[in-house]
Amino acid sequence: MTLHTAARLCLAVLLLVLPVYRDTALVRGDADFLDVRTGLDRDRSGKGGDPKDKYFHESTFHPHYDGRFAAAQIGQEERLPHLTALMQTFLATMADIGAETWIMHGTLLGWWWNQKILPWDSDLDVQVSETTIAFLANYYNMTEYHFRLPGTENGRTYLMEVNPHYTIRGVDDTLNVIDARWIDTETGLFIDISTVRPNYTARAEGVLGALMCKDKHKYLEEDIFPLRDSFFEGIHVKIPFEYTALLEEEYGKKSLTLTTFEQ
Amino acid sequence: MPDIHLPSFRSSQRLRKPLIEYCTNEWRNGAAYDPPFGSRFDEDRFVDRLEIFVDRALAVIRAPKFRRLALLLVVLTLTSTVLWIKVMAPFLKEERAAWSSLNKHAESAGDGLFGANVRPQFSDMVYMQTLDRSLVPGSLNEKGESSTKKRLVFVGDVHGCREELERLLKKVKFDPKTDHLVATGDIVNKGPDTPGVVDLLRGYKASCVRGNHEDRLLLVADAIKSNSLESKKNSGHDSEGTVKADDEERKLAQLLNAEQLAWLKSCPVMLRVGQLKAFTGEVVVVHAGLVPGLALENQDPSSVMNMRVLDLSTHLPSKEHEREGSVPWYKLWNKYQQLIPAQQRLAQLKNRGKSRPGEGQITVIYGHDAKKGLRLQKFSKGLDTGCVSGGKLTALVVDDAGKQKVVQVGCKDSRKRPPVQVDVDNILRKGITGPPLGGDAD
Repeated sequence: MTLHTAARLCLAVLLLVLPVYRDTALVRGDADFLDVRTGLDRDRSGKGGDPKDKYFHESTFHPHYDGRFAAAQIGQEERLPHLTALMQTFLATMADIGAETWIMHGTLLGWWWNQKILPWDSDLDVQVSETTIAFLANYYNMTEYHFRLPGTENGRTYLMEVNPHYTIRGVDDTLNVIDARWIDTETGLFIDISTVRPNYTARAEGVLGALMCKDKHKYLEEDIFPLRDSFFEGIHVKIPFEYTALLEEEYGKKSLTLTTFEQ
Repeated sequence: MPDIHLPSFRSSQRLRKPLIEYCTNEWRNGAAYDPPFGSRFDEDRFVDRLEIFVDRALAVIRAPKFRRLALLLVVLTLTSTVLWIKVMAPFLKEERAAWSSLNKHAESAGDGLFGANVRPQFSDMVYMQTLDRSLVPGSLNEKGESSTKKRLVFVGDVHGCREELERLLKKVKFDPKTDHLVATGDIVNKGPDTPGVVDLLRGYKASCVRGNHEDRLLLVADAIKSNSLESKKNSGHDSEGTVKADDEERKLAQLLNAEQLAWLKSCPVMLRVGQLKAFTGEVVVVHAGLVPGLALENQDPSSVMNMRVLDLSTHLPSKEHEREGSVPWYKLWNKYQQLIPAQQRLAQLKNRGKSRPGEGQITVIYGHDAKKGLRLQKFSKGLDTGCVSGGKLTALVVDDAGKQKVVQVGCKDSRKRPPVQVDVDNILRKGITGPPLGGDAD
């Protein structure tokens, strides 16, 4: 009898404690290699050398590849169409599920110059709001999307993976500045999705509409919203309202005027 | 009387010379004498001369004529120095910077200058429109009939001030049959009656351009309509620290009906009016400004609606009022327009008579910059005179005979202020508020 009560008590305590730990303790890193393995024999995610609390890892061979899905880089010529498809499938998916997203950083600069990805770029940056990332985390985390793309025989599968640390707001969580990834499971290329959040410290100091990212970028609501409707790689994309000023602030005047520019 | 024996030398002829003549200072020539200061004698002379000089100089300086002259000289030097430092040098520097900034066009075919990119395309935005020929005074339509319109009336930023707009139209004796109204953008927001202004303009079939306030308003209206999980719609309850301006636009977007929004959406970013007798070259209406040396087709729409200054080295526009290394856009614009005829002639010479239809001169009519106020220059006409903040509402009336006239009406300050500030203002102006004390009440 006592054994029974003790066992029940233990179970009850476990059940109570589990949900609390679900988000933090048990999910330490990204999805395990064996869970998402496509065709590789060995994990090259670079997980081994990273601190335990870091969720997303940069592959052992290049920071802009996911080592769980690729063993090596692909050539620049080959990479560009892959990135284009990555962007197109991402934007189409987000439009389909009704999640608002907009482009930023190097990707926005590519949009500025020719409404395309810069050919030498190997990563893509998009941003979402806190509402959207919560929505993605709650309903679309670890979902796979299969696209039949022109020029591919079997199509390609993309994975939406959300970093559970998205609930941590502070900039001191430097290991998890990227809140989600849209991953091409064939090549290991991915889009970095980061969340733009209200900056409560700045707002308390009187900066109206202050926003921030975990990667320490700071914005104002009026610089990003309302979003503009434009085109990127031929499909609809949202652009921050003050795109010129944002680009100038991040990359300098010359990035918008010189055709040969390097930073 | 005793006989006084005068010294014998007195009578002598030799002694008629003054005694001093007999001092020979023979001792100086003696070998034993070594003058302690070799130049003492010269120095004495020098000091004497100096003294004389100082005396004379003092005398001259004391003379009233000279004093006046000196004063004049000092004042002149000072003024010219100040003039040079404060006015001429900056002016020259500015001019030189502006010209060299424009010369870049000729030298490097535009590399390193704003506008080398593919022009950003936005859906739901009319980029350019040409004003119907039948609305342009003095122009002929395809059949060769002259336009029925006699005047064009350009109005600066109205910002929802319907009463002032009505008064202004009355003052210019606006007649919809013979006159056509063109608003230079920022028709909406801030003021008391935006829907009224929009309806008034629609009623007169007026033309308009998209200003930064229309731009924001229309995008906000789109965002409200869209059914995507939009970041701000769902966080409506969380109002702390949200931007005030955006809230206003939200309210306004819901206040305006679909037709009013559709009319606002139909306003292009730039409106080509064509040739008018009153102005040199083609006339284009935009809200904020244009980047010189860049074809109308390649202007960045957001900059056209927002710019105030241009960076001298890159021509990068900015919405800021002042900025280091930047000048107001219209300054560069006017200089550039003056260069165009020469450039065309040069191009013609290079191409041996094969005249290419190059860019022509353009006169820009704009608003946006209330801080600078009314700015009429040869190739740019700034019409925003800050009506909504108690300034004036300005109309530029251009007729088919080539005459232009500026008409203004005063406005009342209709800025919305937070109530606390109003209280403070009242207290500052009237002293302590509250029930007036017996005897002081009037």
